[in-house]
Amino acid sequence: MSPEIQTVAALVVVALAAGWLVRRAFAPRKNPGCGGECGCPTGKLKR
Amino acid sequence: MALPAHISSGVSAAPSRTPVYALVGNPNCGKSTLFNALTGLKQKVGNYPGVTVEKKIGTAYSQHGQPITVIDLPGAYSLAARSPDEAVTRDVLLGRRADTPQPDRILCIVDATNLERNLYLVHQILDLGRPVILVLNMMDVAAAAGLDVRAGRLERELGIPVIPCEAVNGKGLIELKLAMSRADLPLSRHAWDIPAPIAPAVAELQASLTANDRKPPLIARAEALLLLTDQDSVRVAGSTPLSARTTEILQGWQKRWEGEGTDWAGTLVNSRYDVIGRIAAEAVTRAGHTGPTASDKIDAVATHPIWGWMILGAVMTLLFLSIFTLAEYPMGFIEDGIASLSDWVKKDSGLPDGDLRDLITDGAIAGVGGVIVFLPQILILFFFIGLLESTGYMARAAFIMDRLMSRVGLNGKSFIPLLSSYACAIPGIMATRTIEDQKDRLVTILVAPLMSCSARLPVYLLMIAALVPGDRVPVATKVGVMILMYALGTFGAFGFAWLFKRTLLKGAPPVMIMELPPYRLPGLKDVALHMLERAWIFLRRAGTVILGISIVLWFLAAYPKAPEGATPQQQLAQSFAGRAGHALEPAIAPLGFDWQIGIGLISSFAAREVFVSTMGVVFNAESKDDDTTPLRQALLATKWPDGRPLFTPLVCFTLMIFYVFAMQCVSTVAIVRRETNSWRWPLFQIAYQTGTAWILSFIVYQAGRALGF
Amino acid sequence: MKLSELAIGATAVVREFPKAGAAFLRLREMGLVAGTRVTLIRTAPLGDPLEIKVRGYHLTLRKSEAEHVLVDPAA
Repeated sequence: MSPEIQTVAALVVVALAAGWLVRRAFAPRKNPGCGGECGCPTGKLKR
Repeated sequence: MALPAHISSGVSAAPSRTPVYALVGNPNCGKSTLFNALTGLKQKVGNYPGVTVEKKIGTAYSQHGQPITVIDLPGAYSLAARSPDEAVTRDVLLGRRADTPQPDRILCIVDATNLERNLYLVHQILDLGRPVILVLNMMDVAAAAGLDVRAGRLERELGIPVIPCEAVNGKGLIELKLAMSRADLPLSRHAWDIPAPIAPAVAELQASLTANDRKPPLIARAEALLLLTDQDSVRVAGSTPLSARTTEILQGWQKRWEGEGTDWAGTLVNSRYDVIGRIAAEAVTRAGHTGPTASDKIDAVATHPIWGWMILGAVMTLLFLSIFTLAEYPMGFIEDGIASLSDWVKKDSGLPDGDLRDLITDGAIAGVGGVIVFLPQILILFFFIGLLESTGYMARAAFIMDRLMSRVGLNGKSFIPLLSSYACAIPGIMATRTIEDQKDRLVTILVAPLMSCSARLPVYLLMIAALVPGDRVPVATKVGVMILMYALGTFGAFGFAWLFKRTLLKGAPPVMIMELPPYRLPGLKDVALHMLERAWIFLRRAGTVILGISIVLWFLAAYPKAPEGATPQQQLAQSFAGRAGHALEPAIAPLGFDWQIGIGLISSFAAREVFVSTMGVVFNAESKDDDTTPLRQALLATKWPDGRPLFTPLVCFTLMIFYVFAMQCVSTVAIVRRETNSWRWPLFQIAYQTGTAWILSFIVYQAGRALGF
Repeated sequence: MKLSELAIGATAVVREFPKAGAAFLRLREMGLVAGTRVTLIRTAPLGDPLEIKVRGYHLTLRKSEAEHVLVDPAA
């Protein structure tokens, strides 16, 4: 593999990784429901 | 009791014919042992979405080979839930969780040595009107304690199948599986007279819950009883708020009872225990004397005012000795393995020199490898925690430490998570799940990373070496500085816990209501299984999030490219990371750090010990691979542009202080994000820890300079 | 007398139990109700919390809770 192709491939991998991380961090959770007040931060805690 | 019409009309399960059993029981009654014995390795371990409660579903096979789904619900003392774990148990049983199949049948496991308290939960579960099988576990222990527990009598009293069992050695499993595959499980005939003053309220609430909240009739009755047991109706309702009409009825009754001075919740609990007391008296006979048990004798020593401390100290010393010595060998293997993998990619994979190859070796392999090195320590830690839990010693450690922990507003249950964090904050933060109170748990999570983890060790060691140059460094100096760093982190953690409990996460004074289960021989199989589950979670993180971050960090150090023929040092200097280091310099110059140290601080985010290898690249870059100029000498030779030495003893010391307090670990950030289900807390943690690190480093450096160091 | 004032090794019967509070509800559900026999087994090395025996098992609670539980010494 020539260095140029490697550079392109590496940059694509970096872009994919960065995109995936960002998506993962901000994507809404699949089931946002909570099992009750004690399981998730309550309104009071969030403040 | 009426036929459970809701079973067919309620939240219908998938059209699968595999029966779904929920396995329910008190903590410490042998539930996970039974679950492992029933399902073997056919388990799926995950998380209930939105809460950090482990979700375990397994498949058991009947004597005829028919599959049976078993959901292992978290241990609970009551359906009036007080912890996230108990809330999940309640919600699955009440059919509130859409993400979990609603159980058709319930398998209640009770500890035969402790029947009365165990039957309380069973009694609540019988209200659900679903077929229940009662598993009487630990029959051997009961017999040894002189208890004669007659399953036949219990079966007659409760009207459900009762299977005596010894889950640890597999006795009673066949009978249990036969019962589980019965097509015609009877419903309990046990009739419970709700106390007269409360009965009309239950009826009215049940009617309203059926009509206004669209609950199936029997579920509605169970929920009505829960609403009257726990004064906090919001907590009972959980994610399914009550309709206005039901709330109105509930408040009406509460107001009336308050006026009359009726203790409705107490009456309900008492009348359940009255019934249970009668049943237990029928089913259990105590043979003769009840002298101190083996467990009592152990406790007389293990919680002794003097011996208790010594044993606790010995257990902890053993724990740390094994983490730091036993783990050394497998850590060496892993390091060698990573190095040879990297070598193979470089020399023998056929991939020529280029960016992709660098990304694989310097980014992916180095980054993930740097974190996986800690796997042996984490395995040992989880093994020990599992061992302490399954023998029952964990509860004693919490019992002994509670008074000290209460000084900073926490309770004894925070002790083990904080202690674990000396090895690594990740297992420590995962171990906070045993803390019931959400605020106490958050405080513990927030301060856990201040305990000096083993990833800081390489940094401390390098800095100590640079701090006291010369080959004959007095051991006492080294050890003294090291202990100072650990002490700083520990006091910092307790100080901040105290502060947070008083300000940010002010709560009711914590309580310490905890069972002290009898000592038992550890179930090694269960401990090993638990350890492997946790290790798998860690590895999955390393393979996903940490891999991604390592790749991005590689990019930041490799781009933009320096002109052809540049040394690695020049490349790093003008990369994004180098520029970030330069940009950071004004902020860290007051601490005595230059931009090159700044690069190290940034790269520490992958894992703190990466600082050492980054410094290797930054300062040792001119030397070839086989040149073994010690990094220490390279550090000592480094000068500011104006000729002052960079790594003065004061700067080394300040840098160590910075590492004690700063939040620099992406893996920890990710785990806190997961465990608190929000970005708020990890971000706050980064801010307060790094802020403290900066302020303290500033004070130390400036004061040191003023004093002429 | 208060449960927290019980001598180590002494047995008593619960007379009165606080009505409100999540901690007391949990203690109740753990089997500590009026009429239950409790034995104070020991205190932790630093004097708090207490370890009691109730319905055949061992339970810890802090003095701050125990002093709200009224008991009668058992014969």
